[in-house]
Amino acid sequence: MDAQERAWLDEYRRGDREALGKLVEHYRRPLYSFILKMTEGRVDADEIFQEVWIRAIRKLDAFREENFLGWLFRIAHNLIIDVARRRKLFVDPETGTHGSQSRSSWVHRLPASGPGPATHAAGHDLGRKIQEALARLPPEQREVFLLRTEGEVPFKEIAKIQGVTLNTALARMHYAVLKMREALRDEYRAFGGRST
Amino acid sequence: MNCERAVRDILLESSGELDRERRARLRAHVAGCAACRKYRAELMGITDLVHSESAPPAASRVTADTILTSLALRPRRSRWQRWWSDWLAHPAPAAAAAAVAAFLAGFAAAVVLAGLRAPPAAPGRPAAGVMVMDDWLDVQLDLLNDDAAAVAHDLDQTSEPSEPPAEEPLVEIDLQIHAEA
Repeated sequence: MDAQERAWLDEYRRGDREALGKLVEHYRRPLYSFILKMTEGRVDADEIFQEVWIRAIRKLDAFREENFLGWLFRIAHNLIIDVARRRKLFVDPETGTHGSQSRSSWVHRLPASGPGPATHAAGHDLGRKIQEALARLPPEQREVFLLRTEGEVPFKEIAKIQGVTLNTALARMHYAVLKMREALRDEYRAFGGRST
Repeated sequence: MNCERAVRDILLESSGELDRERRARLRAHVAGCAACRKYRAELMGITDLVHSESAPPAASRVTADTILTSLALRPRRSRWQRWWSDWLAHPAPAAAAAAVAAFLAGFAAAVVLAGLRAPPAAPGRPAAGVMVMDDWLDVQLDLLNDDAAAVAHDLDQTSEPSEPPAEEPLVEIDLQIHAEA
């Protein structure tokens, strides 16, 4: 968290509502993108985005960490799991049916692999192909990849968010990169990627 | 440094989590390894590509005002309300836990009630509640002993009459020796 972010946070703690507006705008892009891509547009990303801020504000007094965005991502991660558990709108990747409450892992209740509503809503070709490639990643790998690309969250923080070891978080990123590279091979070259 | 370690360090380098010494070692490895050089370039390329296609901020309608309005309108739920909400979300494990808790509470209540109904303990004797527990344990031990005795009896009934032990003649001989003496 840089000095400006810390200053906004302190101002809001002292009762300045405008400082909250600055924080929301500052973190909107990484946080909203993460939520939208993790839920694949199957839930209202705005609803989760707002709930993240509400929970953050309520627990702001307890926030003592260095990385505010990482903390917001952790709240978002827990909320997405909650939504996945409570709503039966996610498709079980194994059976093709709606996920049941008996499955212990939240992963199974996250959006099904393959393009979802967010993919179809994506405007141009590159955006759609990225959405499709992301949607095909296993949720754990997708989350690590998005936390890095959207939020620039350090791997140690990602490991904490997911409750795994640093090596597991690194391995998930590695596999996600390999799969994304394979899926976006042509787009990556057109974007100017070097293949040496 | 092998390539497996190099991949790990390339990832940590990308997030600024690699210390100076390891960064120098990684640089030396990458300089001589085409595969790791390619991996590092692709990692940066792919993450930049995806980052460039992030959802535009305009797609979200939430503002600080909507957040604060929603916060003001929504009463803060108490711990019990949150517990109840969680219970509704996960009824089966919660019901199992409640059943165990009810059983334990019922047992404890029975002990306490028995203690209240019993006459006051005589000086030097344990309180009624403790006596009830002692009695209960005694009964359980008696039942166990009875069971053990019943099993032993059943075994005796079902087993064949055993041959006299081989030592018996020796004892008789020994006795004879004593008698002669």
